[in-house]
Amino acid sequence: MRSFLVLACLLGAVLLSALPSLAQNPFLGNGSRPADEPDEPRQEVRASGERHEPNMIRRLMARAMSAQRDLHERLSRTIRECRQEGASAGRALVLLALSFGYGLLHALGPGHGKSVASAYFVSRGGTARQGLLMGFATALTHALSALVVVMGVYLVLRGSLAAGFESAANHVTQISFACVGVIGLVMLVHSLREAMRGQKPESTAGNNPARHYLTVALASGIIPCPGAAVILFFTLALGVPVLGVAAVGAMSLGMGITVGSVAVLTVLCRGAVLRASSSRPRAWRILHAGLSVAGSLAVFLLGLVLFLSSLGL
Amino acid sequence: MVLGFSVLPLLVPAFATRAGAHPHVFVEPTLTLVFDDTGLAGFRQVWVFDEMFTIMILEDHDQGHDGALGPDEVAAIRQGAFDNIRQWDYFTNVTVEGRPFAVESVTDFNARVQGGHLVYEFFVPCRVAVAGRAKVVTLAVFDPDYYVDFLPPLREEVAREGGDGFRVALDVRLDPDAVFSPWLITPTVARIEFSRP
Repeated sequence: MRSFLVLACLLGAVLLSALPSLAQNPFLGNGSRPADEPDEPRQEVRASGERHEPNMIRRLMARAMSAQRDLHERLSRTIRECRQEGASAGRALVLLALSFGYGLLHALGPGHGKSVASAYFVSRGGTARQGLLMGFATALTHALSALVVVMGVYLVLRGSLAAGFESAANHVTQISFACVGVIGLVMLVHSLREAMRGQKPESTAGNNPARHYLTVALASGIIPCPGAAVILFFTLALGVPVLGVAAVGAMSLGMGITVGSVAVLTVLCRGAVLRASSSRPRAWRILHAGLSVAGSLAVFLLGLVLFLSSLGL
Repeated sequence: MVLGFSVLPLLVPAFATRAGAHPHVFVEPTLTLVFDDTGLAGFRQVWVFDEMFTIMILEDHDQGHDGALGPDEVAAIRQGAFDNIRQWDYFTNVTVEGRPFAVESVTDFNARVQGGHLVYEFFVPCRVAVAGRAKVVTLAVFDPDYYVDFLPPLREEVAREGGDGFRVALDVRLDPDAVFSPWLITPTVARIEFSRP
């Protein structure tokens, strides 16, 4: 019973983090947001009569948000200083540290491949090392993709840079979701076949060939990171693109840690769940098959749902 | 123990729920309540943007690259980088007498550059006739999808224009009933109560 609850928690975590994260700048044209759920009316702001003291969690959140605001402002200020007064070693270090922190915080938001990475490891299991590697691979792809798109738009396209980026990003995003869906389908078929064949308790070890999870990381990470793009545009406009690349590099390290942590946690939890039932082979087999199927189903659904919702762009 | 352990992955992905985005644009809004002889006329807003958004918009729209915006450039900015937010009531969430007020259009739009920051100015018409009994209007500026982060204004920062003959009470505070986004943002609401003396 307890294992069942754990399983439910894991899946809940995976699915909860799956909702659309098509972040589009609302100020720019064509910024329709696909995630307008019809059954959830827009928040109506009511004037409350009594004075409510914001509770601790909200105070924490408020602090996290002003931290983001601060970081963002400091980042742009430091970049400007580097340009105007030269990039001293100290200043460069500050820039890298700020970018790293920004990446860390930034990846907590929706997207950035956390849900796909998590679902993958729910299904396949693995080692903590693989989880970290996948996290970094996803983050690096995410950042590199932004770099490629920004450079492409800057060098090739005429007209609005921002709109050009949004347009290119939309296309890549759709492709990414489609790829994730296909990978999920392949994983699902494999899991179902494995479940029907039956699996022995000994063979849980993370025998994922690197090319498997790295392919998944590539598919989900190929979406260009808008946060990185904003920084790159900024440094390009100021004529210091090298600073932008350095900042984004540090940022991807931070993002990698966040995404990797989610993957590692998933690996550990899945391992704990299966170990808890290893003394009962039948329960183990059911759990193993269940996790395998559920995880791959989650990857498939993630890709499918996100792809369908992206068609509205 | 296992159950406890399994709660951990819920913590991080929990931040990623809903369609809430991560802010990429940061705005410092200033509000002015505008009154005329008949009552409340509307709200004047001044939005100061962060440097990165500023650069992005100027790169695309400041044709002369002189850091100043001529009327053509302002018009282009309005069309390419402002009108679209009409879908979200220009992020100006208003209730009049407890009922939501839809912001259909705004007037007097202007865009300028001040100290390296892009600034938008515009007027949100919102006519509420003054009466003997107190009328209540609330106003909160925020993006429900949290792509744009609006700095909450302080009470002292909400200015008032006109309405010297009226009794006006202004309160600016957090409204915990209207929390939104996975970041659990509590919007700051300006509550205006005005009447004939």
